[in-house]
Amino acid sequence: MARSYDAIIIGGGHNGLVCAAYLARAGKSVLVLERRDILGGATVTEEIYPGFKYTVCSYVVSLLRPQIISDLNLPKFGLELLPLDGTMTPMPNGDHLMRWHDSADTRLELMRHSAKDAEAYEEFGRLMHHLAMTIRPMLSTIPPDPFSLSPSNIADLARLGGKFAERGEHLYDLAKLMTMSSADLLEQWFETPVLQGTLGASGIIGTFLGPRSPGSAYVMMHHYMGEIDGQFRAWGLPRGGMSGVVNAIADSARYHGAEIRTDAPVSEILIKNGRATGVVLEDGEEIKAPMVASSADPKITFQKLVDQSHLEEDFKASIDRFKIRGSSGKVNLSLDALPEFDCLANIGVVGKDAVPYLSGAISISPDLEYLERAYDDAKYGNFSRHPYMDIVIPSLIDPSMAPAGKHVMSCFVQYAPYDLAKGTWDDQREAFGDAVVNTIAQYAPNFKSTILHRQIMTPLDLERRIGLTNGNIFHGELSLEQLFFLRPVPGYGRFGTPVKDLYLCGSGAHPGGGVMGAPGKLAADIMLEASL
Amino acid sequence: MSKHDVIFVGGGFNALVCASYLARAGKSVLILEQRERVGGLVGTEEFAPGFRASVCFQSAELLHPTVLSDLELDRYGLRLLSGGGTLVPDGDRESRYFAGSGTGIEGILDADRAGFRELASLIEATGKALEPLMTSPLPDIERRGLGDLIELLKAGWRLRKLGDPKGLEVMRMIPMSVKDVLDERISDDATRAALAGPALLGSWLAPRSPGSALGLVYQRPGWIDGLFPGVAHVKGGMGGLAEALEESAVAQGVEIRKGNGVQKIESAGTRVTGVKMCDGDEHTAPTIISGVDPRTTLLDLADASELDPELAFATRGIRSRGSVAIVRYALDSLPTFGSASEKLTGRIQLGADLDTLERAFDPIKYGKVPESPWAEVYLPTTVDRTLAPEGKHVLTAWVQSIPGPMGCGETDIADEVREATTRLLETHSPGFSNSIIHSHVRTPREIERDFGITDGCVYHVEPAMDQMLYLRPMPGWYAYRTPFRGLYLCGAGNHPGSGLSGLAGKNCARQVLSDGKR
Ligand SMILES: Cc1cc2nc3c(=O)[nH]c(=O)nc-3n(C[C@H](O)[C@H](O)[C@H](O)COP(=O)(O)OP(=O)(O)OC[C@H]3O[C@@H](n4cnc5c(N)ncnc54)[C@H](O)[C@@H]3O)c2cc1C
Ligand SMILES: Cc1cc2nc3c(=O)[nH]c(=O)nc-3n(C[C@H](O)[C@H](O)[C@H](O)COP(=O)(O)OP(=O)(O)OC[C@H]3O[C@@H](n4cnc5c(N)ncnc54)[C@H](O)[C@@H]3O)c2cc1C
Repeated sequence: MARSYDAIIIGGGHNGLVCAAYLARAGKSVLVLERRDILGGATVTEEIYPGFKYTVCSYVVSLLRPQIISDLNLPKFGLELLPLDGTMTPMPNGDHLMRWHDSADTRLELMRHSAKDAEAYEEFGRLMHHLAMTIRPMLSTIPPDPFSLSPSNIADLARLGGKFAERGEHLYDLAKLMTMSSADLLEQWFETPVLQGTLGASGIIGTFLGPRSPGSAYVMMHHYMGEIDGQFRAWGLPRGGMSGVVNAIADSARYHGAEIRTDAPVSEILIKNGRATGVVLEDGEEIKAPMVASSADPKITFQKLVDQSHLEEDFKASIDRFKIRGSSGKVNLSLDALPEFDCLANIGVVGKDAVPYLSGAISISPDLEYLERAYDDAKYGNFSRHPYMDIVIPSLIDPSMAPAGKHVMSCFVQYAPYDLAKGTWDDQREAFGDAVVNTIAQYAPNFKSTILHRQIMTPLDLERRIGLTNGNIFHGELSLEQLFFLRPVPGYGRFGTPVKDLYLCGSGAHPGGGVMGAPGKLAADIMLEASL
Repeated sequence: MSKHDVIFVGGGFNALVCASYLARAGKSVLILEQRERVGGLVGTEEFAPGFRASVCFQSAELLHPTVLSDLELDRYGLRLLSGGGTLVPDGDRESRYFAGSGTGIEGILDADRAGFRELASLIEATGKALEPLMTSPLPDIERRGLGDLIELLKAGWRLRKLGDPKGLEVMRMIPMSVKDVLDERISDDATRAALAGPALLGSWLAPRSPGSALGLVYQRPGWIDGLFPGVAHVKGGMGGLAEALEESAVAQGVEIRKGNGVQKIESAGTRVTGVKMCDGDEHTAPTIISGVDPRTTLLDLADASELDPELAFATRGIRSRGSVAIVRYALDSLPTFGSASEKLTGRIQLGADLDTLERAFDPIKYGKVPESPWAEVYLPTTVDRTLAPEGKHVLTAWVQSIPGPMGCGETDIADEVREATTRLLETHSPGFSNSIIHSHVRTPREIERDFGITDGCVYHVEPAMDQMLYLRPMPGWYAYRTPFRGLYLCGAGNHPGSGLSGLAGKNCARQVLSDGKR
């Protein structure tokens, strides 16, 4: 008994849900179909071991568009963001670098390492902030087609040009930043290796680039674009973990009338006369709708869900060339006690006093060379023997994440290339987990003995469990040739596809990955415009 | 004490071109060169008794045709000898040879033909779209003069005319890594290596570095036919080109003084007034043009304390790291490289797959010499017998990626580089070591010492996405001007920076002349 809808959304990750919520809010009848038994995709909390809730994939919110939070009224539907304070980088020599949320405290700490850098740090922050502000409008703009001469498109181009022009001389800085490497930029500004390393680390997250690869400076700046409550570069953890965001979006969508089904994997997108007309589920059920939007990545959408006979050779070649190499892994741990870092014990900070140092991110990034060498391993198909890590302990921020007195720890790890030179991830999984644990143990000797369980997410596991092709965390690399009007492929930067009435609304579309919601919202805008 | 309209600091290749153009426009010009010869990196020297070879680079096919004809280089004695295409030896395996263009292309595997054709047309289209932006100073985007705006729109239009999706495909390619661009279209290792080599040579980039695809375009610009252009050797080595340029310049009245370096560019505030020589001599002129690299010019020769802090910061941010060593051998016999001798007259790429090139790059990031470098090799004596005694030969290897003093500090790496290079040659041409009569090494340290170039960076300013076009040599200073009024830059570190085209010198002359009219 098939009911019909105005629109079907494939995938119940945060973007699919945002798209559905906006469509429903505009009065459309919408159905969301999620393959898994749980919503959220890569934005999810799962109780893998009793009492221990893991933020299985993404672990912090910083880029979620404020407009979406308010349009969808997310706080009313339960979203509460708990701030993460600061970043600690332990150093091999037993020292550490601590960047606090409070800039005066950070300044004092930097003075300890280098007076010159303490000075430059503020100036650098201002420049980054300024440049991020220049770029930021792009996150909420549908990319204009650079070659179209239609009046509305030219008006869009002119508006965007105007926004840039307001930024005056910073345009050159921006052009440089878009194209240079984070290492080159940081070496120009700072002399303290641990500061260079920690800042440079944000230039490699989710990429298959090292800090010396051109283009990494842009990725670094991407991380300055986040905001929570108007605070730049502030990070937050939703209460209840990452599902906190997704449940709020889903509830908002339902409130506006959207229907959401889990355990509903789509096997094919129905196409008739070049138009999408509905979907078929794996169990054979057919559901019709005049519009279909897919938040599965472009490879899944166009190589698995669409019958190839509907696509032209050129387009198929473009999708084939879309770069989606996975390079990251995740290790989630249950802990009996907090790790005791040497670098804190050395300054007499132990027990409860250590908590403020551990309540933000802990970054394993002692210097640029460390990161670059980790990349060298990955280039030739090996996981990094000494990996870069971004670690948070969510249970320190939200105690409900673990049983009383116990903790959960989330370790984002690079590099873990999807394609291994030797063996498979099924035989390398434990060795990868060991490399992660051993690396942390070098800084916190009690660490190994506190581990109760570990969940290792290799790129292969991200693909199998979450459905990310090649385990790429952003549904496609965020390299210059795959951004803006070139995302996902040249000619289709505006959420439409060669199949009429079929849209992309996930991270594979502009402006890309991250718990941002922007692709979902912009796709909904386009779909609403088209259905008028 | 002497008075001229224009004084050149350094008489390198680009300075000679620039000076000639200015003299032809009626300016009185003085060139001050520290060495006993002009031409800088373009030159020939006797590196072993009876053996002569080019100082640095080896071929002249990138010379822009307008420079050749405007400066009448033929008439002043330039003789070009055509050499072959690209040979890729691979240890014990049979060598591969690539030459020709269009339908006459040789060496491409059948499976790669369609992909290669697509790549060639993409690079050609990009080169043609960019050529007008390379052959003149870039349109001024700051003053937003109407003429300049139209120039820029025209460039955009040319790109658009390529049509959807080709115009977009060009935009997509430019920030990519050369490996990604090649992997998409070519399956054969040797073809990929033969194409990537020239795109990477002299840069601080590896096949996986984003933006390295730009090198494909810059090394095969619009005025070059095909992706495997034949090598244009210069009779008598590259010194033949320097001499022709010198004679052409002198014939136009350019005065050249050699053997005395410029110690200081004098200024009153930020207005340059003249130069002070190492021997104490002084010269004044309203316009000074430096052919020396931008960092050296602005930070060492000019009065850097006059730069405002932001400009000083930007200038120090110019990346000019050395990455190439030049190793030359005097040989008893011709190496074979597993190939017939007529295929040895072009460029020989030692490094037969992209991972070899990538691994050779890794150590420079940590200031180390690669144990297994890759190299581009030339055998000029296969076409020019004037360079070596009867029956003997010269081999020149450009060895990549060798750190300069900025990378490896005080360590003397010359012998390590020599040994690694000999090993590399021995691998691809067994018996090579036994034929060596003499060898001569210049690592970036020696290039810096001998030619006064920051860290021995042969392009003066590293080619990379963020140091090209409007960002070359530094953001906003793309028009050959500098923060010092009256001081211009004409060397390889300026737009377009596409190898030995002469366009930096030519464009600079144009800029100086048009500024003079205002
Ligand atoms: C390990 C990891 C760490 C990360 N860390 C962060 C972070 O800290 N901060 C941050 O901002 N971002 C982070 N990210 C990135 C961010 O999580 C993702 O970019 C984002 O969650 C993607 O959202 P999405 O809705 O576009 O896609 P997804 O979340 O991938 O959702 C797509 C959904 O589609 C479903 N689906 C696929 N195929 C079908 C089908 N045939 N039928 C039905 N449903 C289907 C999938 O099951 C999935 O639920 C991280 C990602 C990973 C993997
Ligand atoms: C391995 C390699 C790859 C390259 N690739 C190519 C290529 O593929 N194709 C190509 O066409 N080109 C290529 N080049 C680039 C080419 O060699 C250079 O770009 C070009 O020679 C630079 O010329 P120039 O006149 O700008 O500077 P230079 O040749 O450096 O001239 C500067 C001059 O200034 C003089 N000088 C310095 N300081 C002073 C002072 N204080 N007072 C007076 N005089 C001074 C120097 O002695 C020198 O003569 C390559 C070079 C190498 C080595």
